[in-house]
Amino acid sequence: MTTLPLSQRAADVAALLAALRWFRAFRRTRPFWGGLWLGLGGIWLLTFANMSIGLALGGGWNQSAAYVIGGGMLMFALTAWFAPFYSALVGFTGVLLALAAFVSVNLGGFLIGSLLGIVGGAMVWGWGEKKPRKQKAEAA
Amino acid sequence: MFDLKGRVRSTYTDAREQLSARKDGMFEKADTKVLGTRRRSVGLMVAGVAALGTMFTMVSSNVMAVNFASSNNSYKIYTDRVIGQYAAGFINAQQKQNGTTPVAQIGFKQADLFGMCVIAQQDIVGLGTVSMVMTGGEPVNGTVTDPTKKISANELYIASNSLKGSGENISRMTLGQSADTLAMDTITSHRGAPGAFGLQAQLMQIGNLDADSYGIDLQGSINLPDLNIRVVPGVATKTSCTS
Repeated sequence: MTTLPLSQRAADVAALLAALRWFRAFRRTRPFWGGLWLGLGGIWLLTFANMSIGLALGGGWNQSAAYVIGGGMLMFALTAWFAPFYSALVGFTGVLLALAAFVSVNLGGFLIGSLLGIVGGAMVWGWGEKKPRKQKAEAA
Repeated sequence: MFDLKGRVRSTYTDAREQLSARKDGMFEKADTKVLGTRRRSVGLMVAGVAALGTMFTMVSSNVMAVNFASSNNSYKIYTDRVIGQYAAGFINAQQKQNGTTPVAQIGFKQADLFGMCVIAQQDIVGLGTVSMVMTGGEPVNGTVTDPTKKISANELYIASNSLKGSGENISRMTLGQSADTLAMDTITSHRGAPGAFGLQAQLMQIGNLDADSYGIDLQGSINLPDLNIRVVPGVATKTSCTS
């Protein structure tokens, strides 16, 4: 195999590989997928209610519920990502918020936001260290 | 002497070192530990979905009330008949995220709806336009077929830019009353600008109502018997309500 001179293109590929490697490690050290679904559920509630912030601040619970509950779900998702230590707590609270969204935010954004929140929150809650495969094979 | 340049540089290198140490730690953790969603998640997921299903049945069997509020989306609302007690309406501008739209603000102190169908459209990236169709009460097909399945709403406000229907029974109506003097029985918060056109009625029964609405705001609560929610690809019309 001949070694090619390190062109700009090769440098780009190397940078991309490094970024992918970083992302893989990032993904594996926190409840990534659960947090993603929980956060998307919160964003869905916010976009579907489509309430201007002025009305939300001026109105009562009816107007601000989407911001409180959708925003809460988004905040818990970010907490799960950047402080995985609290994943059990925020996952469970995320599920409770998703259930509350059904009664107070447009039927949970026509169910979609609530379902995403329940699935994502449960995944965040159940995130943790798995039994290594080896041990399992030994036990069997 | 205060060595600012050196201090800044050392803080910068410290931060870089810390960051790279954190990154190395993350890499090490990713390689040595097997972390992931454990099987116990399924239990909570099932419990959560079951709780959601229970709430759904409670709402559709009239035990629980829900909140419904939106201001920017244009909804289509269809109903076979609406009987409103103490209604008031006036014209003003509805606030939206991108400017304002002139709408008729109509409020009912108490409203009975015979069949309700709400169609909301949403553009989703990657999926195109999808419509969400929510039906409650009896089927919306133009005639009242099952009066026992009526939907009762307290303090219902609709901001609408197009209303179509036939007035069936209207009593004690005043047209052209100054909008700042409107009252829905004891409720006096639903008022417009002084001198603006206002409408007030003690009883308003409207058949076959089709409305284009910019907002449904429920200050009270609503019960929704036979609740059904489904997602239809593309743009849904009134025929989607019964199919």
